[in-house]
Amino acid sequence: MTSPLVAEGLEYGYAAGRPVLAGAGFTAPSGMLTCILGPNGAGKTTLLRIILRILEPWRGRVTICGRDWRTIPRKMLARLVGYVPQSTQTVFSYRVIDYIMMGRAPYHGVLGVPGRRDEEAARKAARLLGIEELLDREVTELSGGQERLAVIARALAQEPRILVLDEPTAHLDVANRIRVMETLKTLLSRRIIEAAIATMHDPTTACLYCDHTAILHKGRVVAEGPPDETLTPRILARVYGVEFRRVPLDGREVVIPLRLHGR
Amino acid sequence: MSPRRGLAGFLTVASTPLVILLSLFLGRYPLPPGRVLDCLAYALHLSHSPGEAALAIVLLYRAPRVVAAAVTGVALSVSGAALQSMLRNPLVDTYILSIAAGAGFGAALALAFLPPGFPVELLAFAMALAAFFTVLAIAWGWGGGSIIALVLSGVIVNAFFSAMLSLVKYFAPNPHKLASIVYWLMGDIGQAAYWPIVARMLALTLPATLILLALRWRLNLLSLGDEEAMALGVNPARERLIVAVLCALLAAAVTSYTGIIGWVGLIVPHIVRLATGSDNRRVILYSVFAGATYMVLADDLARTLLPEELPIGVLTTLMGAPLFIYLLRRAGRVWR
Repeated sequence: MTSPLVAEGLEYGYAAGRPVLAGAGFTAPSGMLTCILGPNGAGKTTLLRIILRILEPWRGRVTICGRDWRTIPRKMLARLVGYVPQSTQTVFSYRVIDYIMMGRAPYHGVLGVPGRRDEEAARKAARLLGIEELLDREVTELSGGQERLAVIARALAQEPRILVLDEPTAHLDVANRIRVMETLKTLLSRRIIEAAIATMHDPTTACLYCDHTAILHKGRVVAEGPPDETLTPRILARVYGVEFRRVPLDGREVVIPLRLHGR
Repeated sequence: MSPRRGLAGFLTVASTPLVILLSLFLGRYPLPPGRVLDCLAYALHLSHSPGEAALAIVLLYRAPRVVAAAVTGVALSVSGAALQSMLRNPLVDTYILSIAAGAGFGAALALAFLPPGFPVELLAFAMALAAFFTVLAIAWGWGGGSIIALVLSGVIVNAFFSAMLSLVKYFAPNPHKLASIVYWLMGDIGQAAYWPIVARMLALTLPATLILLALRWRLNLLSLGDEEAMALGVNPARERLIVAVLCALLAAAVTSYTGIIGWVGLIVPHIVRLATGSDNRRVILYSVFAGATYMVLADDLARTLLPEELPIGVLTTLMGAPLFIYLLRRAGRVWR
């Protein structure tokens, strides 16, 4: 079975001669939650922007559902890949139902206005995330965790095959972090989405939830594979400069950060 | 939709025909309401002529003036709502972004130096667009496109076009033209109170408004910002360009005849948002009606408040500034 998304040899920089990505690539296997880990400035968000064709890479390519993503029109791409940005920046407040319905944009032309079918799709997405009771609220009234779920619902309303999330657990409390990660696992196990790709900061959370990991360091993927092979104290020490310890937990292993390396 | 919002929407729509109709009864020339009704009945072929003078006042002066005010209000409000959404900035309209100043300069240039038959709107439109792109270039090139950068570059370009306008006045070929430019620039609906001019304003504002209405949901998507819009399959640069051209067209169409009128485009969309929420599927539609009502009422005041007629631009600013302070307090909470 081909992987829903393969990125190869991506190079990009915001200024000439100073690449942020220097040949990064990874594979998002089918049915799995793929985590992209790396310290601040490693190029995680840039990588996602390239996958979504918000940025055009200097070199390299992404294959989405078997097609070179440059050959996919933007509207079609939005039907394949749903995006959950790290922070949403609505200036004006929308009702949650109207906000989720904006995920239906790839199914409309420039003069299109969403109709009954789109509202059903939006309600279905809200139901999947358990936020139906929020539909009549204003987005600006939501808590951080609720807002995150609303943005994921908007991405699901795109009815994508792949979900791309930029630090979905950032700024969330423990309960909401668990809620978001469990939600992603459920969406994958119920085959509502084929693959999920999430950038993350925290290796411990990644151990608990990810099926596949790519570690990004200085613009390159330095390790890729199952979490227990990639999230090793040795690799993490090199990437983060932090000493980690591996501890067994319910039949698998998690890494816990201990102290800055070499102290 | 909640019942409260539904009611607010209904009242907004209903207010426009009501205010337009009632405004026909107002004016400097004392005309009893019964005579005005007779004139309207005559216009609908329902009764005999109530007399030449009354007919001229109601049908050839008051009616086109009220319609011109309505059209101006629609153009300013709809363009204001569209600009605020597409630039994700609650503090802009064609006035703040100096699109109106550009249009004013273009129109003044045409009035002063081009032959009388030349379509003033053409030069006004070109200059409106030039002003807008200059503002965007300054704001995005040097200010990072923030809310304040956009407003500040609007101030800069406004100053530039004011200076250019002064030059036009200075070099105006004769005092008669100078006087007409000066008076027109203060903002005056009365100058548009002729059916042929109303028709010319409508010829541009009607299609532009209809297209913006058709784009109402896209404005929601643009208001999410470039990155999210692109991820939703939108081509934001292209759609912004369409909206920019339409707003410049609206500004040119009304500025060419009524002069530069500030604050309406800024305020009316915010009043609408307070009443019906920020979804542009409602905001653009209700801005049409709220804009018409607001402007017709403002013009009623300009016509009747003092023995001498007030320039409408002065009045909308006097009304707008305090109203905006109030709106900043109320609506500021829903902006981020």
